Amino acid sequence: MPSESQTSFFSRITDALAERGEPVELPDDLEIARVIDATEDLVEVFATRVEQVGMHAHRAAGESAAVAKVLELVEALAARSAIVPDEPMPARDAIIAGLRSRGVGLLSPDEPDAAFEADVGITGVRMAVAETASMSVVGGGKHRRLASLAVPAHVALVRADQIVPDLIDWGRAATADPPANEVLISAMSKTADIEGILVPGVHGPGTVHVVIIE
Amino acid sequence: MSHPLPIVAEDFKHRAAAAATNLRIAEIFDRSARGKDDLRRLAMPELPHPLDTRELAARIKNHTLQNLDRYLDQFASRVRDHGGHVHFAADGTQANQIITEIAQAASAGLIVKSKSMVSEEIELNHALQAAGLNVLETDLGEYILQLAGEKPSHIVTPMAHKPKEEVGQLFAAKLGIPYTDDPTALTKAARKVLRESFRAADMGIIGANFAVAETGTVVIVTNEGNGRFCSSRPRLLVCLMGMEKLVPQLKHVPIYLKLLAKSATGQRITCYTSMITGPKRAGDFDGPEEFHVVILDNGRSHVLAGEYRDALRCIRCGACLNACPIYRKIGGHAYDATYPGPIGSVISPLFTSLATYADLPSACSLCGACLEACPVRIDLPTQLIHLRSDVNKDGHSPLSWRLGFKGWKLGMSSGLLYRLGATFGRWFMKIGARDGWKHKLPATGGIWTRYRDVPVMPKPFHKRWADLQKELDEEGKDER
Ligand code: SF4
Repeated sequence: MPSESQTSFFSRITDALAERGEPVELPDDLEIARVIDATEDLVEVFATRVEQVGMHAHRAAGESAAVAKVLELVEALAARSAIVPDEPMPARDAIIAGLRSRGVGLLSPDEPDAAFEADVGITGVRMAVAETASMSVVGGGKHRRLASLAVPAHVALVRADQIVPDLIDWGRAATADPPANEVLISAMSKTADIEGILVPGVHGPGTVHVVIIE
Repeated sequence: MSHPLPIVAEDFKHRAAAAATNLRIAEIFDRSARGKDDLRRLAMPELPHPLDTRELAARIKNHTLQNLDRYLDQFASRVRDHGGHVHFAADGTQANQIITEIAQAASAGLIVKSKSMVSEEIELNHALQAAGLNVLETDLGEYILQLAGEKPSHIVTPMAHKPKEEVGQLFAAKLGIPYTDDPTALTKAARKVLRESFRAADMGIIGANFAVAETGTVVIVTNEGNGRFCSSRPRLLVCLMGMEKLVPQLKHVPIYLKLLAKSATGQRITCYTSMITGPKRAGDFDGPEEFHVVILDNGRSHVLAGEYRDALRCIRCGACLNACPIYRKIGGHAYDATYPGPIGSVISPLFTSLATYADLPSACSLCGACLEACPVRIDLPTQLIHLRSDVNKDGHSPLSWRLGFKGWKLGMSSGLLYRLGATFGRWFMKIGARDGWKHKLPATGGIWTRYRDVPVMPKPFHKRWADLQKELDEEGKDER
């Protein structure tokens, strides 16, 4: 490769910084940027903000209510096939059994193109953020990065205790050794490139349902 | 960058004038920029301490830039620890060569690309295509521009200049669909093509909104999700980033995510934020087998050294463009630079050459709207003033201009000369004036009167003051 050597690249930077000026400390007052704190009703804030960006929030009391909600949504979406990644998520077995009994085709998550063909992707999340209505989804192992992306509709299951107040809390929870891929999903896929007119579902899902298990 | 001929000031003025008289485009631009500016103003107060948060974002970047060698070294080692490859490129040519060779070595067929201003800066697509490679832009706006063979006119919304009717005609001609100017139908048509491309692509190219030194993570944000596709599906992934994109730790990223989305489009956060740390791990189903980061200098180390270092804090949110009264009137293309608007008028000359963009620092009325908008508080007006003086020092301004200011300075430094000059000027301005206005001035003055009139000079203030005093005295006498 015609790459410049690291040494000569860095020598330009070191020269440029010959006069560094007064040292600027790395600030630690990140809390200034906090919008939501733990005293608020996090489920309420999260659900409200999920709706504000055009996703749909559903509050379910307990896992079996959540499973019923998921199956109801799949039916309302008229989905004939689904992809459910092989990963820890609430009530996975019950959801799969329910889909089977309703005749929804389950595409094997091992199949490379499954996510391109499924009508709906059903996933869990690692963490959710009330402030920004974000859901952190971590790719790794058998989790298909595409199961929440290449599908026209995404149904996400969020346990109430997974919701943190602010994006700052998400940042602080990050470890020094992150996974190969993590995505914060904070709305459906959308564009406003043509004359600023909003169109959902440009590449990824145009519909996102969030089922919150309390 | 390929600007064989220096652009002289007159070219900019002609382009700007032409853009401002194309009413349809001027209207679309104005509407788009004002709309986003309003959304930003509505969104920022959601932060309890907007100004302090912006200052915080500026301080974190100042610290990082001041220690850039250390953080860059840390970042590169972390990427390598995770099994990624790191390449350093002194300029665009080198970066283009590196990426071309990566693609060729892996016999990459289709390359899908997410939006990246750095790739525009180095004209990456051009280089890849010249090498016979097939690269496809996947951001809807960039895709449309690629089909049309046009350049972006805004750093966030690249086709801010394009009416939907033109997109309709373009798609009818290039994709063979029946003509429609309905944005939803047009988006659907593009979705179809792009989805198949994501599925088939061998290689993805992404930019980086942020790069985290502590973990070797690159962070990209997209509303459409194309950045996620490019980084999840193809077996090969290349991230091209300017060397200034670093932040020390992941915990600093939220500060910028909050500010970036609010400043760019008035969102709380962009729809998708991807954190990519190396290639996929053993046992992972999705993700690239091979991951390369190309770190670009291309003039940045030069900026780091001097008084313009603050400009490297820029997070490319586009807020200064949307806020700028000049940008709103003339649009992005009139700047004829990768980066238009206030930030572009600073970094285009700095990244390229002052001679090439000598006119841009003057494309500014110093109103301060950009500084007020900037989420990392870059003092763009002051930087533009300093750049103007650099332009003069380096002799890039016209001779008549420099002579004019020499004369002005001389006149201003002596009372006698000042009065003489003023008397002469007043007499001169009266010739040919109509209704107190002059419509045409000779020589350099003609540049001014090409676009606006000048009022004739009134009596000097000290004369008017004396007259007023006299009048008041008379009135006083009458009353007594
Ligand atoms: S200079 Fe400031 S306002 Fe302009 S694009 Fe950069 S960060 Fe945004």
